[in-house]
Amino acid sequence: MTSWLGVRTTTATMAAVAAAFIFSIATQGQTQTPPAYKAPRLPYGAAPNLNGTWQVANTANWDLQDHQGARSPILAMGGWGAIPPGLSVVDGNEIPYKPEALAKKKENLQKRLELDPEMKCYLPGVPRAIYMPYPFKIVQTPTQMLMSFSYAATTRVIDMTKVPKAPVDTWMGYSSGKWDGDTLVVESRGFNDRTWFDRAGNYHSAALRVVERFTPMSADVLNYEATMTDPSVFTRPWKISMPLYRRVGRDAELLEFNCVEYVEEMMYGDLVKKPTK
Amino acid sequence: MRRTRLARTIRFSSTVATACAVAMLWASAAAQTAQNPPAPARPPAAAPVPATSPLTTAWGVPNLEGIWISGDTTPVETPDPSDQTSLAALSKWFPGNDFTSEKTATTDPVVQYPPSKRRALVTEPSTGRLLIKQKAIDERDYNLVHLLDSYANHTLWERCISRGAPLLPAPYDAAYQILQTPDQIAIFYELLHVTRIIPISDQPRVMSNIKQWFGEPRAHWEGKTLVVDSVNFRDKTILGSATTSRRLRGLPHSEKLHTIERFTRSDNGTIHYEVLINDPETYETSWVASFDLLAPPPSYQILESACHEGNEYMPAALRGARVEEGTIQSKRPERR
Repeated sequence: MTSWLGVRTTTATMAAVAAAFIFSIATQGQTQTPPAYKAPRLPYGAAPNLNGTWQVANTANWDLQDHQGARSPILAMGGWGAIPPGLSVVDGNEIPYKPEALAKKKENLQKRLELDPEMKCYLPGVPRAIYMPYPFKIVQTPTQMLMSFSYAATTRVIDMTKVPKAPVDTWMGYSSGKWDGDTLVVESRGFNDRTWFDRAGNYHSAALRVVERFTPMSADVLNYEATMTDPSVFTRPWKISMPLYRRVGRDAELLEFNCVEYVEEMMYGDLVKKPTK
Repeated sequence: MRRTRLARTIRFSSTVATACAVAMLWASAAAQTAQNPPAPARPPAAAPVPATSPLTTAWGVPNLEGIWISGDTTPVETPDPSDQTSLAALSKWFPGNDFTSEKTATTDPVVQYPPSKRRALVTEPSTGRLLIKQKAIDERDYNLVHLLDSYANHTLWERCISRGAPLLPAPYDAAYQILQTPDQIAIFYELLHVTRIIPISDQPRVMSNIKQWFGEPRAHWEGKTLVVDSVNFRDKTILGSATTSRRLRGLPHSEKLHTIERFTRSDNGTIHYEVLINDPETYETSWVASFDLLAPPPSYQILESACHEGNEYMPAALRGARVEEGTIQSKRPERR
C-alpha cells in the first residue's frame, strides 16, 4: 500500500515512524524552537531575570489530569470546598502508571483526606510546590537561585554551580540548575517517597527524578514544564506543562502561609488535656 | 566533622528528632524522666574558612552572599547565680544543666568559634542583663510547668513553626544562606527551611493589620552596614529557642516587638551582626546583642530541616501525659 508519505511502507518503516513520533513526544520541550521573546537580563549578569512573585492560575493541585467539578470531599465545606473542573496539564492526559502502581494511586484517591501530605501541611515536594494555588518568589543572583513559597514556609535552593549530592532522601529534593538559552533547566533528585503530585493521589517513589524547564514567554508569563522519571512507578517518563503568571503591585507581596499551626488542632487536638470541671 | 553532623542528621530524620528543638525534650517528656542525650564527640577545631563571595558586589555595596553560621557560644546574658533558681521551670526538663555557667555547650561546632573573652552577647544594657517584665516570665514559666497539657504550651520551635527572626546563636543547624540583589536580601534559615525576603527599599509598609512571625522588614544601607528594621510581628513570637538562650528561651514577645539588625561584612569569613530588640510589653528597656556570623568550611551543605514532618515528639509526649493521667488508653497510634 502507499502511505501518506508516498512511499511503500513496510513493518520496519512503520515502526521507525512510530518510534520517531514517540521520540518527538518524549523530547518535546527540548527540541521545540525557542520563543521569539527575549527576557530582560539580570541587572548584573547575563542570565534572564526571573526575579519576582509567580503563581499558577489552574486547578492542577486538585488533579493533574482532566477532571470534572465535584462536591467537596468534606461535605460541610459546601461551595468553599467544591472541586473546580480543570483540563489536564499532563501531556496526553495519561500518567503512565504500572498496573500495580495505578491500583495504589486509586487507593490514595479513596483515602486522600487521610493520606494527602497537604492535609498535614507537610512540605509539598517537586513539582507540586510550583502549582500549589499560592504564590512563590524567585530570588535570583548571578550565582544563586532560590524559590521561597508562601505555603508551609517551603524553600528551594537551586545550585547553579554544581550538582549537589543528596546525602539523605528529602521532601524537596536536591536541585541543580543551568541555562539552556533563556530557559532555566532544573534537575532534582534525592526525594523521599512521601510527597504526592496532587490531591487526587498521584504519587511517586524515592526513585523520582524531575527535570523542570522555566521559559520566559513574555514579561509576566513563564512557561513551566516538568518531566518525571520514576521506573518504580511509571512505565515511561511523562510531562506536565502550564503557564506561571507574575503577581504585580500589592499582589506581589509574599505573605507567610506557614500552615503548620493551622493543622495542629486537627493532628494533636485529641491529645490535649481537657479542662477539669 | 561533616560525617558527625550527617550521621546525626540521618539518625534524626529516621527516628524522632527532625523536630530538632525537641531532641533533648522528647525522651524526658515521653518517660517523664528528663535525660540529656549523650553528647557527640567534639570534632577537631576548624578555623573559620574564607567565604567564596567577594567583599563587594558588582553594584558596589558590601557583599553578604554566602552561607554563614551563627554559633557563638557566649551566653546571651551575663550569667548570674540567681539564674539557677529563676530558671527552675526550665531546669525541670534539663536537670543537670548549670545555667549559671560562663560557658554554653554547643553540640554541633561546624565552625569552632574562638574562645570567647566576653561574658555576654548582650552589649546594652552594659551589665549584659536583660530587664524582663514579670508578665513575660510568668507566661514562659506557665508554659514550662504545663508543657504537656497542650501543643500550644510548647515553644514555636518545638512546634516547628518559627525560631524568631533575629539570628541569635543556636547549637545546630544554625546556617543562614544569604542571597543579595540591588533591591532585596533573602536569608534562608537552615532550621525550619524558612526564608526572609527583605526589600532594600523605603517603600511604605502594608501590614499594619497583618502580623507575621518574621514581621515586615525594610532595609537600607548605612555606609557599609545593611540595616534591617522590622515591625508587625506576631504576638507570642520567640527570639531564643535553645537552652543556650537561657532566660530568653521560650520568652513570648508582643506585637509591639521591633527589631533593628545590622549586618557588616567585616572580612572574608565574617559578618558582624548586631540586633537591637525593643518590646515595651516584654522588657523595661530595649537591648542590643552583637556577635559574628562565620563562614563554614566550603564542604558545608545545608540539609533539609523537615521538622514538622518528623515531629513524632509532639503526639508521643502529649499521649504519654494523657496516659499517665489515665484520660486515654495507652494505645500506640499507627505511624503515618
